[in-house]
Amino acid sequence: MMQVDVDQIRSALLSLIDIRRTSLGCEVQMPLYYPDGGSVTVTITAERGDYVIHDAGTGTMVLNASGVQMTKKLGQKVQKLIEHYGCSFSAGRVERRCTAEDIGVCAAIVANASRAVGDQLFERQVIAPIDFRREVLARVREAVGENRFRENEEIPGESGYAYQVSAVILDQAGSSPVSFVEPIKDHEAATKKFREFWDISRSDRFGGVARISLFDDRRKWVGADLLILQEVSNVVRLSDVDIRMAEFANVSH
Amino acid sequence: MASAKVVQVGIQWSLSPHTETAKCTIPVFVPTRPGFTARLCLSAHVSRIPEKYTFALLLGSERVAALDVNPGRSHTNFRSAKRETVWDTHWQEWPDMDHAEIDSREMTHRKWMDVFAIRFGLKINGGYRKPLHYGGEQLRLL
Repeated sequence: MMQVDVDQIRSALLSLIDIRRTSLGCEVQMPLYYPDGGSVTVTITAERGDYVIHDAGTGTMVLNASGVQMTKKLGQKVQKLIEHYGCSFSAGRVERRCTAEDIGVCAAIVANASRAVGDQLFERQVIAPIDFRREVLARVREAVGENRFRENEEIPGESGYAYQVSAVILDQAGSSPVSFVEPIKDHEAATKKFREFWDISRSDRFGGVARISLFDDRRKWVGADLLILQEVSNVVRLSDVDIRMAEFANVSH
Repeated sequence: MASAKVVQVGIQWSLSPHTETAKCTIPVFVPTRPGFTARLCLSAHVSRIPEKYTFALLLGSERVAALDVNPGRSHTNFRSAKRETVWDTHWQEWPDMDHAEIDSREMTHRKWMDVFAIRFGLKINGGYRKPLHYGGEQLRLL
């Protein structure tokens, strides 16, 4: 029967600790890991009779390397976590001062606190790999041509409120709008864009310009969202965008 | 990963007062898939020698390619439970971001940037700026 060998376990764990001297001081790899697979490393320096143990900002760097910015809100949250470990957190660095006899425990505490910073990766806001709006507008631009396409144009509605219309298709002369285009990603967008198109449709100046709601037909929709958009616009499936945009562009005044 | 990618914006490093890490995030345009939300995230330690840099390509919020130069830490593959690097410079690439590939070369930041761009099909049209470095002095003691 296999026996648990205390010495073997101790040796295996100790083999995970590595120390190297750099310009920052003694860098110590601890048997702890950030979510990206990197080990937590603390740096130890001597300063005015004390030891200073810090993470050289590595926890923050782990976040930066995944596109997470240390915002004020995140900084406040991290500050509380770090205080829990009895460390300070300033300008992205986790730090603690100690005497020689506490150096081992404090190195482990700073490492844990630094990992708590890196663990904020799990709390990051998820960004979709595909931006539906950008994808749709690129296809509209390609379908109608650069000269007849404008992005983010300010169009006033009847109420006087100015809307940022995502795309405007111009006539062949490239001077007057023939269609307003809005990508409709989800229920929220449908609600918001209904208001925009309803208001613009009542405007004397722009009420005669065609309005197009381009929706993502790769996902399921509540029928009502598309029905209300149909009241104020031409509802077009993303899969038909190339053909339909060319049709709308050809209805030039 | 094989698609051509274009960086139109120049590198602008940001460094908050007294911090140790300069960072820069720039949008990456994928002409064949304009809807992709790709970004290039760069970070660099401003005082450590050997100089420590990170290059990462993100799609949405996920890293799909990374290069850690002189990371000062080991890399462990969580799935295989193996320590794949100890102090070494290493690459990671989608779909197996758990795996690290060691690179023993020593180069300048500019050269690493070029190598990263070639490997992942990035065309850098924006201007290049090397990260600020204080030459080994600890920032907090300055």
